[in-house]
Amino acid sequence: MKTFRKVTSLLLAALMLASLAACGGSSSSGSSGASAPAASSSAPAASGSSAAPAASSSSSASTESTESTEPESDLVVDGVALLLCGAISDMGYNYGAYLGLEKIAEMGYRTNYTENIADTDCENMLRAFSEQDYELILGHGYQWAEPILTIAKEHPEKYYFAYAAAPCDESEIPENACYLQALEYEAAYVCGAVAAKETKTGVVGIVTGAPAAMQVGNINGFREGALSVNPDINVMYVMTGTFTDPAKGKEAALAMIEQDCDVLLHTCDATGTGVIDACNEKGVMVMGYGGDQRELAPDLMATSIVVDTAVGFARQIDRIADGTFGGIDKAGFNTGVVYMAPWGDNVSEETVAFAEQLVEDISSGKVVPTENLVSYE
Amino acid sequence: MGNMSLPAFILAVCTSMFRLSAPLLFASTGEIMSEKAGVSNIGLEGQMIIGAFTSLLVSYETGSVTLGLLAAGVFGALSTLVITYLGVMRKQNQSVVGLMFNILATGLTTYLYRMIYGVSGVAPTIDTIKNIHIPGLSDLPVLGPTVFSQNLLVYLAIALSVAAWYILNKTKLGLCIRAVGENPRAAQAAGLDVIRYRAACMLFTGFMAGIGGAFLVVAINGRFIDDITAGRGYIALAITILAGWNPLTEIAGSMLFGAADALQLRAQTLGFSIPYQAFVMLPYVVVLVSLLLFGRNAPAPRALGMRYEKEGR
Repeated sequence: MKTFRKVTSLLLAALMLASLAACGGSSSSGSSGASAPAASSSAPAASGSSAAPAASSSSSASTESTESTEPESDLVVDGVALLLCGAISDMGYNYGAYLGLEKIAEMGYRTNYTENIADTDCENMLRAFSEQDYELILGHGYQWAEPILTIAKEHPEKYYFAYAAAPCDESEIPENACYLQALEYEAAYVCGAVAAKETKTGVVGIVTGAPAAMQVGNINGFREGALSVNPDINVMYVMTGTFTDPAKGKEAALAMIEQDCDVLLHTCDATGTGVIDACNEKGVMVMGYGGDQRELAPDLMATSIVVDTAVGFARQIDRIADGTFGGIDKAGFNTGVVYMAPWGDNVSEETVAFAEQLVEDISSGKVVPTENLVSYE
Repeated sequence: MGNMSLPAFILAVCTSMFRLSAPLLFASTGEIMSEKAGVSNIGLEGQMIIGAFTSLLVSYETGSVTLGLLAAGVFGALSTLVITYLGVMRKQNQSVVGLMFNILATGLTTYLYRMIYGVSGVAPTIDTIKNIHIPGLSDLPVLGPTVFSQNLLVYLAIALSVAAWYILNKTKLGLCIRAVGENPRAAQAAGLDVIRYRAACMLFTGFMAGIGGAFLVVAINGRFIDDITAGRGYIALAITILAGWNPLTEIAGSMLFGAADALQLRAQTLGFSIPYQAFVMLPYVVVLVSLLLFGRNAPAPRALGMRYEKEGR
């Protein structure tokens, strides 16, 4: 009996330990759902043309898509890793990044990812991945800005890039680190302008997660865009302080809708799904973030700010190949890293035409939204 | 700047207060019961997230929200067996076991969810339950839209708190539970099976926490997302202490937190130039301050968190 108890205790302890690992560490191996390949199988590191039928089990015909990246995979980059602070099931920002990585895997690169990393673990996780066989590592989000600075110095042989604003002066960034600063605020500007065109009450709103540079930029972009169309418009914002609490996101959106807000943009990942829920409940026009979120509100989704991680990765690989990697890489509409998802039927044709023109004008530099990543008040 | 009159603003805060406090109310009512019996159940967050996951799974697969809720309660309750076994029967440190349990539950629910539904752009979603309309009452001025137009679970949460208060203070069962938590040795001498009482109270806690977690899925979001409870279990723990282990005070405590949260989200929309952190932390500050003001003299169950040896010193 006594041994039985000991054994059970040990087993339970082991179970808990295992779950610790499953929860904190690279959950890629665990989350082998239908569409979540761990993608850690080792592809031959040889040249690009013979690039292995990518890591993910389903993608077999991958040779044709390797062409564009063929020269780079010659030696420089073979393994690509993606590190996320949120969950790939957030149906937005992190999910989009995960899809991007899948595309990269289809091109023949060896890929791996890990998710749900606590802010305080970022540095350790980067170090762990650096010690493995990955040449290019992306930290997707503002949480990675500082850690990448530290780790890039420790591992000069690897390439790092953060999808974030740089935490320091460009001259202080190590050669093997790059900050991909997508100009999301350009897209937020378009959203603001469209919101101002479409609103009937004269009140529009944006729900954000944390005062990170890009989020602040989005608030400012949204506001500037709205004011450019209608100087009397009331632009509300709520900073929820979280990217993972949909219940709070919903409440924030309801608070705005109560105050006559009738077009909402969210830029806060899983919290934002709550914003979409609130809009569905109240029949209010909504704009998504991260990927095309139309499926979450088929009739009410006006558009989404799409961040294309696949393009982001490919861009960095190109830059490594031609030796221009490093520094701050600002990528707007004209690079394809950020773009507007297709417009919904709930947006009037006139507004759609206006918005498309605006996107074109911003890409060509005719309209230049102000970049303000510092203060949103 | 606001497009809203002050009375309308206050009404909106009150309405949303009920929604925001209901999950906390369920969980802390449960927690009071187990702590009264002497078990410090830190695993509240874990039990909530298991409830949230189960409610989605069962509601989505069967199409019945009622079944989903029941299943959430049952699985929440069953999940406490881990803590009961290690923390009560095997006399391990209850805080450590509870914390480990929370990590286990978060990881496990994410794992199972991905295994069953994978990852996609649109997660399985259920229809959330609707607010009720009571003829007459819901049309009252002020009270109608706030108190009498919530969903049924909100009323259930309040009713269960009152019931818990009644059971703890007015029935023999409550006396036994309190005895087990205050002085287990004496309770044992009086013929009570301490372990069994504690295990039963833990089952109740798990049931309540499960429903509390399910509230987020069934009444608010209609879908499950990793870590959807977002720390509400820990808030419920704080409310338990703030309320001095009294279910009636606990109603007030939960409402206070809910009101502070509802207020801060709305205050932000008014565009004051105050750092957002000041708003976001408001509910937590309110709880901390109330804890300082009212929580000091609250008599904790004397045997709370202590290991219980049937025989010996």
